[in-house]
Amino acid sequence: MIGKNRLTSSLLKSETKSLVRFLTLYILLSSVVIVLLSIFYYESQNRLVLAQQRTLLSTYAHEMIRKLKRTHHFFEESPIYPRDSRFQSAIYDREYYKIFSLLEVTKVSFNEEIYRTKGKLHYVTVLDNYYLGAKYLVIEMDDDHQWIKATLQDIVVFGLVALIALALFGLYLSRLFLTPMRNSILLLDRFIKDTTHELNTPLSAILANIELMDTSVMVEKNKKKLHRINIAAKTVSAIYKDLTYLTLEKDRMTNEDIDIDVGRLINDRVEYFDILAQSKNITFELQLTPTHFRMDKKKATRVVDNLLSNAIKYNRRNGTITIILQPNRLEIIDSGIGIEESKIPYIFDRYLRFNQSEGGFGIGLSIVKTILDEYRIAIEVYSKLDWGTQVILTW
Amino acid sequence: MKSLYQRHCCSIKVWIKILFAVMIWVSSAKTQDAFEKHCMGCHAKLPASLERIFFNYLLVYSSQKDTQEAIIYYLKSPDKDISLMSDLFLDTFGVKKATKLDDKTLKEAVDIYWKRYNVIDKIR
Repeated sequence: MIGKNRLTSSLLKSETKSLVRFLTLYILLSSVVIVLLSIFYYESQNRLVLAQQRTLLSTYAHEMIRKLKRTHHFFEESPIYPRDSRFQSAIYDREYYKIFSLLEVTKVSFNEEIYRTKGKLHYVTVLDNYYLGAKYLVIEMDDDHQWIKATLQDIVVFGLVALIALALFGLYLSRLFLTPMRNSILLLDRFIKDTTHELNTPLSAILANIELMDTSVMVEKNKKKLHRINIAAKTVSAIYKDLTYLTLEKDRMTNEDIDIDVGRLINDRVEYFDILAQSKNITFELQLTPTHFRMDKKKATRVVDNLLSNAIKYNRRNGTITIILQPNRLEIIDSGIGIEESKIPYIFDRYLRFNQSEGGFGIGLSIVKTILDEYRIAIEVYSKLDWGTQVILTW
Repeated sequence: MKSLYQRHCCSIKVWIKILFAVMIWVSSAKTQDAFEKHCMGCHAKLPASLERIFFNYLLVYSSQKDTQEAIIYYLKSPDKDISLMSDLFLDTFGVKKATKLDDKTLKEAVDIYWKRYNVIDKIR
């Protein structure tokens, strides 16, 4: 297993995204389950309390029926409805017509035996003998809200504990599931790092020898061959520099910021890439206003190199690259194949390549974005298929 | 021995008394409602009051509609099996004869009966 180190910590960006998505979904589903369980618990508590109250109300109802019987038989002497300080009551005939009522909540549901309504408990019982013509006797009592407070407290406490426990379990699960993905990325990083070391010496030797070769004594055929070797070596060199940056230089703790003449830097890099551009007959159009920016030169070079390299790589033959430099703004516009609009948000993702026909690891724009973020430089990308791409940096 | 004049005067007084009696009877018959006229006469002779009978009906039929329908049905088709009176009462006084009152008068009498004894207006 490959251990995570500081060099590869940035790789965990996509991992974090997956982790957040999984956890959000997991916690959402867990919350739904907890809410459903809470509703079930509340309902069962409600039924339990009602069952306890039913016993008491049933006793009151029996007492009331006895009193109604007495009133029925001695109505002529005493037509007084029986009252009780512990509860209120009402009687209704078989057609639900009110005979007499002391209820505070007058709306009665005759289909339920016991229910809650507006802070009151109603208990409805059917009389066997219709004393005073009453078929239904309704007993009303104040509803005790203490159980609701206790139940809600239980739900909140246990719900939160369960949610936290489930979230922790989800975090553990997601890390477990993401381990293979993390290992693959770490393995790739380690491979690139090791390979980069081995590329440095031969690449330097090739480039140095090309520069030293005397082309004036060469025949035209060999000149062309050397020209192609130079292009290939510079392409490899660009990739090498990206990889070196990614695996070695990125973690330098301090930047060596200097005042950079951005126009001059662009001219230098255009000159460097000119040989690549010529291979596709691409012309540069430069509109450079003198501008200075304080930045680490190696990082600034990586940004410009990657943007120019992409503009050349994904350009068509006989195309153009327009570079407009203004104070606080740099635009690089190519006349290339363009990028689908839906893919633009993902172009800065590492190891992501939309066009497999060109070489590369898909790390260039990822490096660009990291450096730009470090220097708080905003980047905007506008692209249209078969029209080209416009990259705008503002600071 | 009474003279002829005295005897004549005496017979006139009797006739006047009879006339007054007839007048009083006619006037009282006019002020009586259907319930008093057709029910109370017979029930006054019975030991069970009309109020007690009303409460017996309430105990079984509960609502105004059912109670009135049951009373009307019984008055039209009296039967020992559906009577609400005790066996002792029925054995002593028997089952009443079916009413000869027309439906309208019967309904009027039963409405008055309900109004007179119903619990809803009296209980407090």
